[in-house]
Amino acid sequence: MNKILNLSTSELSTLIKESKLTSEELVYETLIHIKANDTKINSFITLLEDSSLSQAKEFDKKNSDNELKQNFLSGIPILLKDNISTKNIRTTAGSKILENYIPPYDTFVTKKIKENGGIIIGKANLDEFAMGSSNETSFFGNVKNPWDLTRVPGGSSGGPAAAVAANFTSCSLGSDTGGSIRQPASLCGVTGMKPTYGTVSRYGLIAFASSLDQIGPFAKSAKDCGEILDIISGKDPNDSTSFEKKFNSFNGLINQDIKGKKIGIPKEYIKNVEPEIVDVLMKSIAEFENMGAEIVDVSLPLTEYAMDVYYIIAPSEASSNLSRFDGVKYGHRSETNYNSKASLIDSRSQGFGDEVKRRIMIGTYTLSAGYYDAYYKKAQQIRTLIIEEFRNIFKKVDVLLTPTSPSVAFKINEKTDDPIKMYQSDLCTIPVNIAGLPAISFPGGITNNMPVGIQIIGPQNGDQKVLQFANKFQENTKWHKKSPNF
Amino acid sequence: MKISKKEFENIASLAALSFDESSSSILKDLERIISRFESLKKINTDNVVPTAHVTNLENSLREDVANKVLSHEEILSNAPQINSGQIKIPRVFDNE
Repeated sequence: MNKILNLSTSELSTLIKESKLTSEELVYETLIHIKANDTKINSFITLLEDSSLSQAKEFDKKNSDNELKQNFLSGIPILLKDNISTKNIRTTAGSKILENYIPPYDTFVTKKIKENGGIIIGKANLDEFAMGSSNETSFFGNVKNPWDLTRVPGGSSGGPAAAVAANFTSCSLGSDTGGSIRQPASLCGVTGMKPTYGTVSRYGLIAFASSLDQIGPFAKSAKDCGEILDIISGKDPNDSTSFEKKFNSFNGLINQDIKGKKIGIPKEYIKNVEPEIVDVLMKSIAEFENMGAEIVDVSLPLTEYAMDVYYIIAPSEASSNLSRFDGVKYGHRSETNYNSKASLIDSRSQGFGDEVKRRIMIGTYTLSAGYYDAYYKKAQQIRTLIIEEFRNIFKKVDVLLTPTSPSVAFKINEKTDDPIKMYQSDLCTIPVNIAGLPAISFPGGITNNMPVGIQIIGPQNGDQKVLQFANKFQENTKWHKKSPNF
Repeated sequence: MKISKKEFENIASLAALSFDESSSSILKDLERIISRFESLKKINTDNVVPTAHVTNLENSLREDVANKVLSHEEILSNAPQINSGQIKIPRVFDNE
């Protein structure tokens, strides 16, 4: 593998701006590495070989003619999770029901990346409809963890995370509804951020749970995540839940000291987590103390209810969002043709996998007459209390520091028999989505040769602070520079 | 808590899904997952306003101006069956 593929997006961007590297060379080496090695990982559903090479050549030509303004992503490949619509490029959501679906329009973020000069190298594998924590539910097969091919990469953004870990790409975009960027970032030893809800437009993101979904970056550093967020964030008239940019630069605080700043450690996040994970957390606490931060023990008692609140709200919203898949206008239509209703039922039953059907059924139940108040309304009320609980904590501390995942990457098939066991992989990440807060996961250590991520959570619109703390950690440690051999 | 077979079939019908041999395991999964939600009753939510969404945005509107977004061809480009510029589907009424 060519050594340039070890570099971060910032480093590649600098080399290209200084004309020490051409986009064609970078894309060419990238494609060689992917074609030689992705059969082991299965992180790609669609590889855009021809289009990315021709875009790279075009970029180099315009660049040498001085016709181009150089942006952060100019000439650099980026991978998109396959629930992010790309015009005229197959987008499957990891599902049979969209196996051959070709969107006639681009996502807001796709447009922004293209405007910035980024080259979309392919569409990444994911848990079907972003429902999962291990990338074992994709119609296109499991994704393997580059650190240990017998283990899962996490999910649902297993493909985007694994691809960065494997150096198939220096950066990628995923989506996060209950931890689907942060948990795979932790299990794959990369950095992944979910911004404050509303930061990035969801227009073109194949919807799972509309009040929880957010698109966010994976990269080799927190700084690069910040740069990518600058590109993809902002108000989009097509997404009325998106807002105007809150700051000029997500990385606006990274040069500021964290001396005297307060980091809260919520005790509820350490309760059901493996001892080796707690060990890494304790060592990272010591690191932050060395940097002058003040550590404060805090408590968030409603944390234990967050998972159940999520598993009412998310499936409820999903059952509504996935009702559009009916075999009529697009997607899989069954052969059944004696009447529309049978065609509808068969198209859906054939097209969706088991986990998706399970969640649709949960959501349909919780929203149905007689149960709506007891479940959905109750969950949204507790959600209000959880939001309030976080708001009060952030009056006392600047950020929270927690584990990202209760364990390192688990073995393939270890949790597939028990949905509840699988859901508990997201214990530490779910509360963040319920409250719409920003959070980042970045490598905090290695245990038994597997990476362990740690998570910084910030208050609403505290994205700059989150990146500031993560960046300071990465300035003082080398965990984020470690790469697997596979 | 238990979900009766009839209730399960009702939910499946609302969700436009059919299950064959897999139905008993999905039923058990549903029972296990939904049983967990009983613990939420412990929390007092009297007078708590349910969260509608987590931004502080209100009335996020645009001008009422018609925009052309996608062409006819683009919209039909993924349709499984087309006839005369329309999407063809199986008959709507029961085949009796």
